[in-house]
Amino acid sequence: MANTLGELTAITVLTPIKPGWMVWLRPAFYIGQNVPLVSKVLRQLSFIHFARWCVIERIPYNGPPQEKEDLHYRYLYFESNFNGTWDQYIDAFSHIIPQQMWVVWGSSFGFPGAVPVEPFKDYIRRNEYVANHYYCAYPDATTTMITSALELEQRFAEFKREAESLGPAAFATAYRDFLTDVQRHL
Amino acid sequence: MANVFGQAYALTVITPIIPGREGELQTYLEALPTGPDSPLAKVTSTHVARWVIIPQLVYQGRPQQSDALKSQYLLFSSSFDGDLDPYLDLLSTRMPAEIEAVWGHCAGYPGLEDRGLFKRYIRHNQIDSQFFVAAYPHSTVAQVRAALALKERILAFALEAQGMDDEQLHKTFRERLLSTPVGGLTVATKTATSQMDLADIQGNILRGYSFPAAAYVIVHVNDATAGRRFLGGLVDPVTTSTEWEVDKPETTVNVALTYSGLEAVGVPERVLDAFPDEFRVGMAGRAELLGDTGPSAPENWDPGLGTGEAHILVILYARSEETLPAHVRWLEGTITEHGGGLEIVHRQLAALLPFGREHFGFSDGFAQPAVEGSGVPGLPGQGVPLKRNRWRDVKAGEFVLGYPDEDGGLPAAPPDPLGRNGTFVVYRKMHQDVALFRSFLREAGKNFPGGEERLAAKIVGRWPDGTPLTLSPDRPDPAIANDQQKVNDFRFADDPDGLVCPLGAHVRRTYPRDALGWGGMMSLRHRLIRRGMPYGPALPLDAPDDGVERGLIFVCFQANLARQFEVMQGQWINDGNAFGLGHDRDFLLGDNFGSGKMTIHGNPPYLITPQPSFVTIKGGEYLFKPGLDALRALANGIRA
Repeated sequence: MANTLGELTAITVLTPIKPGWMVWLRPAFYIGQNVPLVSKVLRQLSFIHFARWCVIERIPYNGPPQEKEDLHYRYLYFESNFNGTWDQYIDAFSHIIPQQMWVVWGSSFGFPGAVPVEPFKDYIRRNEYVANHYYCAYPDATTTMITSALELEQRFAEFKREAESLGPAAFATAYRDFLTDVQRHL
Repeated sequence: MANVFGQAYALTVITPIIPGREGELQTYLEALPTGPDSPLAKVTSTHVARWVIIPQLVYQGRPQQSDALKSQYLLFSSSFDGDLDPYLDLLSTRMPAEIEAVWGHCAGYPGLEDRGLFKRYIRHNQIDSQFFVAAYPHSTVAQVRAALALKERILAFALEAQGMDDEQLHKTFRERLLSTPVGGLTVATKTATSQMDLADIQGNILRGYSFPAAAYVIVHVNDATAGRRFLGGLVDPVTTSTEWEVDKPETTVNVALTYSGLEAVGVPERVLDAFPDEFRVGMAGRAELLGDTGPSAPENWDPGLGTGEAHILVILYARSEETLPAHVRWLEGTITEHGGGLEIVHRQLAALLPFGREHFGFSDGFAQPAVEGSGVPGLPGQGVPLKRNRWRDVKAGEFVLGYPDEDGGLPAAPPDPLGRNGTFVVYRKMHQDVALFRSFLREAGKNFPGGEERLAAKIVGRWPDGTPLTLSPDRPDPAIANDQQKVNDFRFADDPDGLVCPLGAHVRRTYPRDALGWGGMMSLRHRLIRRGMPYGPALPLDAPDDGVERGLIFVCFQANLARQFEVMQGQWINDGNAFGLGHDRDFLLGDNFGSGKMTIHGNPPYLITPQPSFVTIKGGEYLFKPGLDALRALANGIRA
């Protein structure tokens, strides 16, 4: 199965959107994208590298041999790239942000609610697609490792600037302070 | 529509699979190597990506009406750095074979001959995101990797350092970590485009080696197989941009080839033809245009230069002048291993002078372009001038092939794998007559207000310590000269008559900034990255000419020799028309025939004439410095 790579798991979901629900869905997404609090929660679920929701209004037509599609519904595409198991991931959505799950997938046919979690997992499993090829530029790094490393880089740059002019005794003290300060990131 | 979060972009594309071809496509995708060997790894600004075949929609039961797709679809999704258009360019240049193999199974795919059509196909089938979120929205792939690598080094040091006394701790830190540049720290700007594949780009281009001693060894290839084996033997030792950043070595090795050199190692015609004309004829072939006439003409050049014999240039740097000879001997050893297959035709040593000066006494090398995406933070004055005293970085494609340039596309390049991550090199030996320069200044300075030093500053456009005339017209100012933030932060548009900095001053000619009008647009595409070094011992002040050879080994990098080096040398140094100065040449670089003049603008102006030949060209070559993949390809031999 091409859905895992090192520390990463890929999930791909496609569901039909109930007519009339775009009225709710679009503003919900707009708010989510532009109000930092909502994306903040998602980012605090610190195992997600990149995630997105797209609405497929209609399938683009490219001429023969493609036949023009004539679908009854718009479709909601969801993909995520995350650390941990698939089960942990859906559990987290169900336990931590069930309301947001309602706002988003409540617009799709067949959504059983985010709580309890087993029917929710069945729903996702039924509507999931397997990636035939999955790529990540740094598959052995989790998001926590990465955000930690970026934070460490910043603090190290500041420390280096100060350290440049210090003699050995003063440097040793500054270094130990620095190490204490960044120990969570090592 | 929310395709962007921070500097990251979410691309989602759905294309119809040609009926009957679904099985083939699936087999192909599932057989692709994963991890660092995935073809998507070549598209280096990609964080994550996937291909998913969608065979059919899932029916949810009533009250939904059954909905069915008439074809199967291929979904491609990618989360990458920067804007969509440069990414599509990168995609089509880095993995054309895989694009053909994958999208060749889809209806409407137009092929890659017309890249515009391919991009239009992708955009036509693009699905916009409604909501896109990234965990580290401002960090590019390169920055993530650099941060992870740095963390390992800090951790390794922390372990080693436990139990050390203060002295040892301090010393070890300075050795291991103090010289570590924090390469990935610069936050990518909103206009960031592709970030750079530092592991494939040779070192010294994006970030200069700060070492004080270098050797330039030019090899002639007598036997193509030996030549290729020699290149193969250099692949491992060659210093890349990443290695320089992460692992500051004791010595460095880099390699470049002339057109004849590419021919000599067996590069086929169809690939050679893709190289530009000026590169093919070489610097000697461009002598007229460059002003290399009289004593500077190719017939008077040092042996080995300008004759077509120069094939492979190996540039070695060392941490000190003492460690360089052993490093050179190592290289000479590898050459003699190939017996008569290779021979050395030119050997040049160089070393920094005290205080970063060049032989005429001027501080040199500190004014360089700021390159977007290089990881090196741009300083004021290095980039492109914007309104309100701001500057922006220059697009990477002005210097390294395979990245977007200031024209918005990719620079012309030989076909992959040669083109990507390579650059063109100018190697130019400039002999300086220091005694002549000093005696000229003494004479001409007698009647000049401010004397010798001010006259020298007017000729160059900076005081000897680097203070720009524009910022300090009457005297050098160490507070400016020693401040990286200030020393390049100036423009010329406010000095249209050259009263502060003469119109023909050396720094004004070599980088006119906004002097040519249109806010700098006329200078934009003629920038150079300079990595030269003085050669020969310093001539003590007040000493007469000692007959010892000294000067500057001028080395510069650019994506296009004709547009960059040749415009600067041919039109701005060797001529004055662009500045309204007729045929006046750059006074510092001298005239080959002892005629010529310079006007030092002022009330009243001061004319200096005749123009002595301070600088004579002793030889030079145009070369191509390939990326690592390209170097490997050259070593393995490229198919005809």
